[in-house]
Amino acid sequence: MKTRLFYTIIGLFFCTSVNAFVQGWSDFAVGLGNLTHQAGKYASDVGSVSYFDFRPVLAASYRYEFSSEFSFIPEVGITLPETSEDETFSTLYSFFNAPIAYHSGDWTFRFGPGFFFTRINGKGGTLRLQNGTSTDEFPVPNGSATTRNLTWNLGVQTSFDKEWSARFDLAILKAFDSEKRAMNHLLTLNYHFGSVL
Amino acid sequence: MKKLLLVLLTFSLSAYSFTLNNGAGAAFKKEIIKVNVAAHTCTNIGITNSELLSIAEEAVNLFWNRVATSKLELTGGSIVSVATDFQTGQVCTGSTSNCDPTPALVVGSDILISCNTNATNYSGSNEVLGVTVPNNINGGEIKGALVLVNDQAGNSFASKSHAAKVSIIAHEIGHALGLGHSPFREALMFAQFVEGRDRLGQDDISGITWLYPEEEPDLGICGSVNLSGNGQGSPVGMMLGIFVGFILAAYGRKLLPRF
Repeated sequence: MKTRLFYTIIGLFFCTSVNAFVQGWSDFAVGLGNLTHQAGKYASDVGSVSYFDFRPVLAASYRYEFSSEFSFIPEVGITLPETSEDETFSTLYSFFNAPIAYHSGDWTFRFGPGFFFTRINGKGGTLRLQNGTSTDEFPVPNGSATTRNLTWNLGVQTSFDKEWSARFDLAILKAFDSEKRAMNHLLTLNYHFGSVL
Repeated sequence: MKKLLLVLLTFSLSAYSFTLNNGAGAAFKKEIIKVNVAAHTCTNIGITNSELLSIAEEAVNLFWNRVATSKLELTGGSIVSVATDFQTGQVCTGSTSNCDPTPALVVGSDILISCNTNATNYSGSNEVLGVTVPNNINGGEIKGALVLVNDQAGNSFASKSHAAKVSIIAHEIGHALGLGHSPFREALMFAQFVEGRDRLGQDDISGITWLYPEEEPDLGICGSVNLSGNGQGSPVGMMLGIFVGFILAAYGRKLLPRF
């Protein structure tokens, strides 16, 4: 009898929690925008730096409300695959962010950790390139490599109405390494579906 | 919104295309790679061994140690005594991309920079600034790589500015790490020397990321255990780890909820 009562209480507690958990998920959003990877970190030409790359990105997030002011907004995103001109390899960027957000009127401020993934896939073969006073065949990578970076993300979002918003995010890679530290920036236009659970 | 998405999906975006060196995908496996300098006197490049070591340290810190998506970590080593073959010998028979390493010049570990006067290494040209071969490769692992700086009389390395020398040595270290040339002018690994280079290109970053991918945080229980700690281990950290482990093993179960 005691055992049955114990499991009933646990069951009720679990169902209440699940219900509260589902109720908390209040807004599914899809965003389309642009991602710049390691802004200002590499040369666009000798002696000049690149702060912006054209790289379309798709992102999807779900908002879990703790209160009217604070929420948790896990998000995934992926870029379109970039293929080299000679089709010898392709690069794909993706990310998973888990920020806590503070809402104030039409503005939302976000901060939290995430992961940023870079996948480089080589198709093998060789390229004939200059080498010293003549040319040589150089091997092109064969196979893929995926990197995983822990990021710290800062973002601000403004809502135009109930359905549309715009957001700017900075993702800091290697935040505590002064030499390797790099920043990605993400600009998205988002469409909000509301709760779909 | 749907139309916009469809338009974007039809784009084939352009990336860059780096290449690999003679190891074809081989890379150093150790966590920290040292760059050493051979101790013999360089007669024609106009700098001392300690200046060459200082340039190598600048090269790794300005270029290769700055890639966030790579786990690569290079450090300046020391001036080491080596056989005179490194000063006068031929690095390999055949081209550097299809190299048969000369046994006497095989580098035991890490990266060794040596000035060298053998004209065959530079196709008899004074315009070729240096030549590099990872000449100690075991399977997919580079154990050692040799960077030779053209020390022939009349070489063009000696007349270059300090910043140019840094970027030239950085380019050669790129080969030592396993990279080949890049077809893009903005890349450090472009085949020709270009004045004013002060950072890597996207192609260099992709290449070094492919060879040495970062994987944060280390999700292994203990990660990799480096038995050649080079005296950098912390006894305090070790004792603290053992102490915390002991406390958890002894009392951890009491912290679990009981039914």
